[in-house]
Amino acid sequence: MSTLALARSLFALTAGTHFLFVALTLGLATLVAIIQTRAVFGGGAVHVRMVRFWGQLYVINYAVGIVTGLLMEFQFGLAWPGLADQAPGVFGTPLALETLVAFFVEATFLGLWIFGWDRINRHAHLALIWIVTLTAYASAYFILVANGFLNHPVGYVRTGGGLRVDSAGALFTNPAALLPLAHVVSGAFLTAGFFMAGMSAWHLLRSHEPELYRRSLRIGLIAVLLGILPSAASGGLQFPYAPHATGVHPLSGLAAETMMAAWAWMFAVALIALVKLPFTGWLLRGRIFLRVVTATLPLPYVAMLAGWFYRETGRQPWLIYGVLRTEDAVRPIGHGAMLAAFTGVAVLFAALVVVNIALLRRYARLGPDGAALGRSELPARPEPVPSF
Amino acid sequence: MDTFAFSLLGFFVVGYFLLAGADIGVGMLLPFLGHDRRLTLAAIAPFFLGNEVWLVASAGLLTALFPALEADLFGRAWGALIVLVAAWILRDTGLWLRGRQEGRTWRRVWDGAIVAGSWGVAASWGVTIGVLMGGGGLLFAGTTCGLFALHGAVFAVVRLGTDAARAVARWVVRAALLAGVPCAVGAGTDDLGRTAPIAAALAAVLVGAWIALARPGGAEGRARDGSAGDGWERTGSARDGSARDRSARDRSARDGSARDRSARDGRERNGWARNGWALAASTLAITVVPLLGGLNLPHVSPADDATLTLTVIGPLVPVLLAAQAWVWWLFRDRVERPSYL
Repeated sequence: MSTLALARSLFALTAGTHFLFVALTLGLATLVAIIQTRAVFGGGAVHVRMVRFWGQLYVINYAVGIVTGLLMEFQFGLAWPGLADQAPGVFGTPLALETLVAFFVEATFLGLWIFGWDRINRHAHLALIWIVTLTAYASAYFILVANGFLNHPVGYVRTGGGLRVDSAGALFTNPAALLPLAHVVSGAFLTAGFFMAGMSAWHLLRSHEPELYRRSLRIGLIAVLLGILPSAASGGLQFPYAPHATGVHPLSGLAAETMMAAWAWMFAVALIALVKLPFTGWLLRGRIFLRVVTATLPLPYVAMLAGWFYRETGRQPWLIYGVLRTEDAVRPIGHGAMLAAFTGVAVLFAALVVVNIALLRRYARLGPDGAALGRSELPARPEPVPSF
Repeated sequence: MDTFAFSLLGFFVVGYFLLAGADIGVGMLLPFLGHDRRLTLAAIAPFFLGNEVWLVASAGLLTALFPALEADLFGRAWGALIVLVAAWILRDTGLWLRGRQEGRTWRRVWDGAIVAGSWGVAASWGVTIGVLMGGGGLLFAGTTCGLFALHGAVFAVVRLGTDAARAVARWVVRAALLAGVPCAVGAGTDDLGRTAPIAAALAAVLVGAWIALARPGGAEGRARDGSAGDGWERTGSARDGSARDRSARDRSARDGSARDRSARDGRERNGWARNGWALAASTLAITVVPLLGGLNLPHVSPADDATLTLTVIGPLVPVLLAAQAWVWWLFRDRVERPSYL
């Protein structure tokens, strides 16, 4: 593999891993915020338990999003200096706004939400999760403004020193940013919806805590219903704004077909859910349907990954479509160094993903009693670890 | 506008070292700060996520405001920065995962990740800035490791208030003074006119930290007070002091000796002030790291489009600071029990 191909694979590995975990973060934060709102305003103990259970899974998932995101941000400077050199304003501005307007606030308030569970007034604590959710959306928006510019450059003017912002309005309302935002958000609803519904169905099949999982199943399926049609609409509408040079990558067509097939399956499940939702007894009795919902849990991930692959390979060999070639933006470093970086990151991320999936599975199976999040009295017993 | 751009970047970079320096230092010293490592980690738990975003913000600002500086920094210190990010990821992974499962092996693996990652972050900052100083990258790593560890140890003294933390801090301040300062001079031989005054100031600050960390009240006070002799207590706060402190105070109240009590209160105030001085000194000491980095970067003008970023972010800075201040205010108490990590 050439150095350029390695650098591209490294970025794809980072962005792909990040994207998978962030999709759940975005959707699940919303659902947790909605459940916590219910818990604060007239909800019962079951809602509090739901917040802790789904919040615990959200936080475990969040950690992978953070560490992959760190590498992604630094990778622009480390491996793709051409981007900041050629387009500091048009590409750098949305990135800077993302870090300060969105991520800085999101991380600060998420820390408060996790660690301040029993120290903060419950209305303030509820406000925290909503701020975390809204800044997560802001984060997705700014990143897609930067990404949208790569696929469909608008609002810029070429000068001697590179690209300058000509119209901030055009840059920040780029249809190649707004339509993918709608696509990603509806995809996040599908991801979180099937995550919540799938895990609830698994527990319902084993008769665990029927009330908690029945409520969770309904919330998950409603999220799926909200996401399913917008995801197809926003996907279809963005075709004119994305350089879909199918055939550039041999797997591009396969990726598009995979995404659509996964969507068709999810659509079928959503249709049955729509019919069954008004009849709770029927919904809970249908063991086949519950099994199908659990089995569908990985499908939004498959669709997300395939769609992302299809979209991002389309603009090659351009990094900024029609403006900056990928080969002109990569850092000219030795093949060995790039190979070492790629291998290191691949091993690290593989371990991270495996461990986190195992943890999500473990905490999902344990149920609300296993959640450490928001446990008011943690045992103060010392661990049997030697101190040097 | 240029001054504002420089100040904003400088503010976030220095803020990162002051705040994150403490939690990275605690991570470096995790095996030495006490038997209950969950308690030690609880000292930094609410802060580390909010601290590391200062660096994320700095990197974002660097790209948008000073692309030429970013090109220079990443071009010269490429290797050190990739190690920095790898170590940072390792450390964060360890912090997030450690408490999620029981078991000796599990805990040891992630303890190892936290400790190795924290040392890796401190050392790669040293190499990065050493490279900017014109060579001696590894040498300056000695300085940064000393300063991060000191800041962490002092932070642990303040948050945990244990004798173990204080003993570690006393060791580290000596190491930082005797090894870290010469390392800084060695790394900056290219421009001693700039390095020497900074190193001298650093030495003075470290001596100050050493004095502040000396045993309060001497051996006699320690023998009388037992383990409560480290004296971090917020008189006048509703949640002040640990149960241990209260029981010690109850004991002294039962003794009925007003003179004893007032002497003890005086020592407590003294200990609190000493901790404050030590924290001020370690904070001041760690600013040397971004200072030497900044002084060794080329002079560049902000990017053409910097105004766009500054107009949006400028008015937001007070909001960001208020959010951060809330975190520090909420978790100002001494740590008494393990937290979520």
